[in-house]
Amino acid sequence: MAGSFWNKYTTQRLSRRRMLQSTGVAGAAAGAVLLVGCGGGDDDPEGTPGTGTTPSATGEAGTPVVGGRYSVASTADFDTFDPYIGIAASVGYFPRLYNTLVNFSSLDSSFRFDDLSTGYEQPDDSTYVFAIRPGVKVGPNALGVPERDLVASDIVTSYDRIKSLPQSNAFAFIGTWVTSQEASADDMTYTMGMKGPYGYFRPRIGSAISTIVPKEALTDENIGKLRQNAAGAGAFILDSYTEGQGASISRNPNYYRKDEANGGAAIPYIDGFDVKIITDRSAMSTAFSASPPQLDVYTAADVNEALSLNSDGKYTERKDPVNTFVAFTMNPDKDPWKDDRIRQAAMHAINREQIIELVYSGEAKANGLVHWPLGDIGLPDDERDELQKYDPAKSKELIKAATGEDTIDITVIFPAESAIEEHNLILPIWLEQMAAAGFNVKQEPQDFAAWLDNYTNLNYDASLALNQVYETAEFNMDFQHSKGPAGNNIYAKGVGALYPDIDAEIDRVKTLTDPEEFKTAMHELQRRLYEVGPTFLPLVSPYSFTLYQPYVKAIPEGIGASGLWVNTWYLDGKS
Amino acid sequence: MQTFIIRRLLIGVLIIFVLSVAVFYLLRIVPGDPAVRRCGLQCTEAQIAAIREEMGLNDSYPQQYWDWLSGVLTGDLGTSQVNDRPVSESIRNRLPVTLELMVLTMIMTIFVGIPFGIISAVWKNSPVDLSVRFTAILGLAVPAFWVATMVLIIPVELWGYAPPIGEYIPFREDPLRNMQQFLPAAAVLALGSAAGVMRLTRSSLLETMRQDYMRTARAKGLKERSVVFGHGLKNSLIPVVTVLGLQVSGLLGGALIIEQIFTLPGLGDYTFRALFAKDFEVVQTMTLYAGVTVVLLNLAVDVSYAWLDPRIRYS
Repeated sequence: MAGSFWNKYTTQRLSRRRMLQSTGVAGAAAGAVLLVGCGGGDDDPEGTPGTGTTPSATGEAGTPVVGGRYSVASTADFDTFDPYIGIAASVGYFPRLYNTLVNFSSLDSSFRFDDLSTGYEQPDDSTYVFAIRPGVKVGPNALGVPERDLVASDIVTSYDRIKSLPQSNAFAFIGTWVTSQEASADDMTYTMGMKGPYGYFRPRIGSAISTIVPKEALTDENIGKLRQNAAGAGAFILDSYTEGQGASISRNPNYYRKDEANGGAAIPYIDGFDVKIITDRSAMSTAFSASPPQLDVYTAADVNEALSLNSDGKYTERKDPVNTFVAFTMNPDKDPWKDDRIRQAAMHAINREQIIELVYSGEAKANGLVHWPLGDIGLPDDERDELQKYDPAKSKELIKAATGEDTIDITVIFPAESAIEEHNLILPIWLEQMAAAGFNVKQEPQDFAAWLDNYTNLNYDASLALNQVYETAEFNMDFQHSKGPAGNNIYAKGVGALYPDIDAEIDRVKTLTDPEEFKTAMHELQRRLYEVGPTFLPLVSPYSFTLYQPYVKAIPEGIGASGLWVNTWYLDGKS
Repeated sequence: MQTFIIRRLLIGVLIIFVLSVAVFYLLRIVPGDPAVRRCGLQCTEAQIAAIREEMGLNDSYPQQYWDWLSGVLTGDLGTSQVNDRPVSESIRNRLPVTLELMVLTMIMTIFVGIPFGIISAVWKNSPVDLSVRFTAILGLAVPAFWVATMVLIIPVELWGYAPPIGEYIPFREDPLRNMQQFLPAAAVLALGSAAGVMRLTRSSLLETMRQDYMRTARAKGLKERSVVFGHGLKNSLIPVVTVLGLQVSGLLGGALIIEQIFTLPGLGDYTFRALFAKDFEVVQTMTLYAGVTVVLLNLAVDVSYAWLDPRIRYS
């Protein structure tokens, strides 16, 4: 799912936060499969449903009530229900319709969701052996897939499809790292061989874009039909989808999971989702505020809109961290960014606190090289703030030392217009800050398509990049790598191009599977990057503000996108 | 008349051909690779190459154009490059929405614009005329997207009322809710066009009323109502009909925004999304659709002149 921000932006211009939030789980971008606690995975190999802590919940919870349809909006349309190529709205619903082997929450390292597997073992650092859960039964569907239990060979077929599709979203993980797969003779054990130890295994394995589809749905005859149909063993089944209008999703009568906290009651409690495609924000807030409400959840544009809509306190409010940020990218192949001092000067020019106050009314936090929602793999706040301290005088000193002049001319490309409100607001502030620190910025505003082309082809000196949603720190660090975030010399070239030891360290950190060792190495890597002057500077990441109708109860919170797998929430009193 | 229509249709085909070539070419020279857009930032070159191949973007431009055009000529409008769905199916699903919106808009435009134009002309410079003209200028000056937003927000703020949002209710299923959904959108779209029609009707009627034959009609002792409606109105409608024809074409553009705001899943919404996604097949086909609509509407307008003014003959 990583990087899908770009997909959605370019194809639909939606806010992915809104999309994820609209699914009714923990706040949007908090729809993050973060990296906290990444590492091997032999803990609790015999995990049971609901393993880990029960997530805390938004909306006072009482005795769950069965029934009711949950009305949500999506700014983007569903493009397909094929989880391997789906982007846009579809991604938020794959966890509802399909299964994963196991999902780990990055926001709450104690939360683990054993789904199609009951647990896994690691005979060695590169091999994972999953025990398949019996009774994970495919729901009724229009594709003619039998209502049978999913087995190990379904995983092999699913992942083979990803491996055969370079354009699939999960290719970077399954296609690149998974080198062998095997289903046992009884089809109840699945063995996955990796090309080596991989530190990002946990956030990757439970992703919505590598969910398991029954093999009958992946036949030549059916694969095309996944555009408008779905067949899976998830908590819900797809009833209907109408292009441009939305989808109706209902409870899977075959769903295996029970709510142990409620005497083993069958879940999900709600009858289903009515997903409406609403592009316009005013229309969405109107639908939410209407009486009777036409939407059960709404993600406000910012804290002020949330406060305004909820001035009488009738809605349930949720505040979640968002994994999105605007970043400044410098090209170390081009002058003046080859010079460490100029990159450091740019780093000290940015006053993140001012951006937080002016753009987010204080409801955001400064990012280091790793955005703050990813937790303690970023440097501690004090150290980070010291290393990238806002100090325009120091910027000018560095510029003087590098050039002998008081100021320096730089050329920066950026999209001239953006559907993302924050970008339009941050841009002028950032330009003023750079000017105050001695940078004469030659602005090159470009049409979005032109900007993306130039960005893709490294045809720029520096760029102020649009918001990006990264769910693991892998991408942040790869931006500092000489091969860039995609590993093939497009989009960005990192400072590793000037310092090979940084490339080597980024590559090494990826192979660390012990959480503590990983965290320590990440901290050292960031210190080294600050020392030489990073080429990729995430600015700030905000909070999102989600409002729920008062009858929405027990929405899981604090576990990010893992909440998409939890279906114990319910509607109490929706008319 | 027959020769005229055939000639106009042939010219129309030429115009549409030129339009389609221009749109085809312009879409491709604008920076931005649709494969990159579809794939995303973490895509490898191999992924992008695979998508380009899948989308047929590696073929030469003439080949791509021919593939698309031959499909259109044989009734295959192609498939969306974003979601792989047949364009014809999407148009079939969405056409009723846009058609209903446009019909309602035109009804409002005609039944508001023309009567108020007449009233304004007949009571020239009276308080009624001034009020109507003020309202018309307001209607022309205020952007439709702003009015649309207000139309949604104000009722919900005051009374908690909102039209059905995010779901399309066909007229045959629930006429009342359908009208709740379409009337506000049509009214917003009609605001500007009705204002234009009103002003044109007024000036055209005033011009006609100054003609000698109108004076003659009055001198014959005809009642003012007969003078205005029997002699003046029909003759003053030629420019109005021309503008109405153009406005239908303009509505295709206006619908792009209004359908988005009122969440009506019509062709405007479809085109809007396709433009942002650089979905070549859809944009080309929708441009063709708009072109054909405009050509046919203009032909209909020209033909209507003969009915409005018998002195006009086509040969």
